[in-house]
Amino acid sequence: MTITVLMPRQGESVESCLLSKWYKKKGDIIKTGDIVFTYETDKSAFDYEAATDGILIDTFFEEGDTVPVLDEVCVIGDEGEDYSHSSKITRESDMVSISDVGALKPPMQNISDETKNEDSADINEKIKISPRARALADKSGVDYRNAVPTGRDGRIEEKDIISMIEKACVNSDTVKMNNDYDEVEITNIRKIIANRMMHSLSTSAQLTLNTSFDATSIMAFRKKMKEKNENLNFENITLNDIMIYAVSRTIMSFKDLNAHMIEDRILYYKNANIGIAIDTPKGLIVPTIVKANEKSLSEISKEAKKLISECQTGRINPDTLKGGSFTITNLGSLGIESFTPILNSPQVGILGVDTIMTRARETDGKYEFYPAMGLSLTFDHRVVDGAGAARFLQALKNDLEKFNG
Amino acid sequence: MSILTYREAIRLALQEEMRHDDTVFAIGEDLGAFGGAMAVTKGLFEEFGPKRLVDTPISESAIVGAALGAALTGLKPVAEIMFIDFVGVCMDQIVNQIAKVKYMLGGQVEVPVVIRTQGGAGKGYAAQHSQSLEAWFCHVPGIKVVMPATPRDARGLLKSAIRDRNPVLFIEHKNLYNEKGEVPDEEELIPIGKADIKRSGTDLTIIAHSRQVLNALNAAEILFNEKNIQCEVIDLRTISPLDEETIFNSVKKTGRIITVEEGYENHGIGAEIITRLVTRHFDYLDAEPVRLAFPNCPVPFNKRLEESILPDTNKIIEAIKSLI
Repeated sequence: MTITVLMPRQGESVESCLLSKWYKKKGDIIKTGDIVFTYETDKSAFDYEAATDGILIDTFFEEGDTVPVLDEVCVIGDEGEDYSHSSKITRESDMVSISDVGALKPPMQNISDETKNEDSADINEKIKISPRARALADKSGVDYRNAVPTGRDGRIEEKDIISMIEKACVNSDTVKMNNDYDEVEITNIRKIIANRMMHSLSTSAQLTLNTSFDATSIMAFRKKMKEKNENLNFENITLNDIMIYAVSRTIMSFKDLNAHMIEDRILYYKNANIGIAIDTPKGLIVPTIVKANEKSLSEISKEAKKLISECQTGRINPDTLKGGSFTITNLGSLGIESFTPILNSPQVGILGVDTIMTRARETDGKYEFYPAMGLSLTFDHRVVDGAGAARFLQALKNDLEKFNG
Repeated sequence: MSILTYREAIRLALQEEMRHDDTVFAIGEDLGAFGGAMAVTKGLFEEFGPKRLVDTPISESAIVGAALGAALTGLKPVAEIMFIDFVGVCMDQIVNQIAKVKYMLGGQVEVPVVIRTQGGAGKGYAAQHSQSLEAWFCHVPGIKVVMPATPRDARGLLKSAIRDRNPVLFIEHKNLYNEKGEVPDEEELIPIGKADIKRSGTDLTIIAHSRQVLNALNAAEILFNEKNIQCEVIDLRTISPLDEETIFNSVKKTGRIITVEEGYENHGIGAEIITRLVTRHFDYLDAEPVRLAFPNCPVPFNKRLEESILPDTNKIIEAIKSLI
């Protein structure tokens, strides 16, 4: 008996999947449970496990092909078996009938007298559905062929129909309010940001520590440089440059935070490759200042300005977006007092730089005001404990308070 | 409420009914002065004497035949067959006489006989003393089959059986006699033909009777704790006539059913329940019905072999995991 393997449907919105790898080739013997191929949605990869014993008689797609869901991927059966009834031509006519909401059965002309046997019956029984689910679908008027089966052996169960009905309700609700918003397909960069953020939040144990430091020293230093700049040809040093410089020095003593966690391994970086989060008209971009620990403040300042300008104008070299070991993100210029940055996965740490606020403190019985700059460190608790991360912040705070170039 | 064992609860029912109605008497092997092979009637002889606790020779046909005769003369006999496995000896008395006499005589007589017996495996008693043969009697019209799982049900159902004007086969379980449970102090008659939802749930219906009810409840608790699967456990209590309404309503809610029994799987109670469900309420089902029962082979003497095939908590859990 031949079995035609269809590209499984993974989720309501998925219309096609990438066939990423064949584990078997034409002619290979296949046992039930063998992984035949891997396929990917834009979110994740799945293995297709053979549901029957046999030989991989034919394959219809190559690695790297995008395959519409429910399209035929390959045929498993006994050697030399005729599987012509599942040829592409038949399949395409089936596809027509599937897209036709009114037609419940495949076109009858496909079943000639010769092929009217058990095999053709199997082909027609592509959709497994429980009696309960079928009854509900009929009653509710939904087309169960669009349901995502979650039952055993790929069977559609009642809950699958219920989730279809719920989605249909949501959709019809939004349709009613159609005039109240503009519907725009999200851009690629937005998709990438969205996926990376969700991936970061769902795969790490991240949390944020907040502190602040006395910014008197760095502000004084910046003022001094600004005055010099007017006479000599120095770069205008920003507070952010000073922050990158300070982090690149301090972090060298905290290898746990200058690291990547990938599955059950940790990569400790020997240099501080500092990613800087840059707000651009298209969205967030994070280029890297490689080996910042070996660069002078003026070199860092020059490189940061170049990267920011390239990002803003969209001329950034994609290679500079890779290789970061730690990231700095600055919302201080927008008046943010503290926030919870999301890790740039697989990095272990990201430092949020907050705005400067005037605070009061007591020293030797006297009260004085000072400029306090906030720091928000998000770290991956799988790699670093709270005390370790706090010690890094403490060291950074000390270094910044004593900063003199 | 008092805490009684299953054995004490049955004894209490007998005692109460013998006090309540002096036409009630027990008849069987060694149930008088000795107190019964399972010690169920212990102490009753002292209160009611040899006329109400009639010891017989080892002849099941004689026990059941005498009970039938007594019933026809207006008494209410409670006959005891020591092991249900021995019932083959008196099958004609039960199936052709007790179950048929009222029908054959055009309804002119009543046969208010209770036959008490016990079945079930799990004690290493081997193939001739461990069977669950309830299905044999469910196949025959004219006799009710009752199988309590708890002390409370045992007491309430035996009292109803004794008061019933028709023949009732009351099957106890040899592994339940020492199980304890609450029994109301006041009189309680539990209706024959009514199943009991022993645990409510929404994900799956477990139908069980006799000792398997306890295993089903254990399995339901474990599945809830480990997997948050909410099983509804229905104790049939009466196997014939079946309480279809309770079963159907439960599956209407859950969409899934597993039947558990100690009797042989072939042509068993599970087969009957599932057939009725599928033929009448096919649309309720969200997954294939599953039955867990004793495989079609004699009960092994070897304890490990017996355990390996007797339905138990783990086997119920495994079967349910494969279904959800």
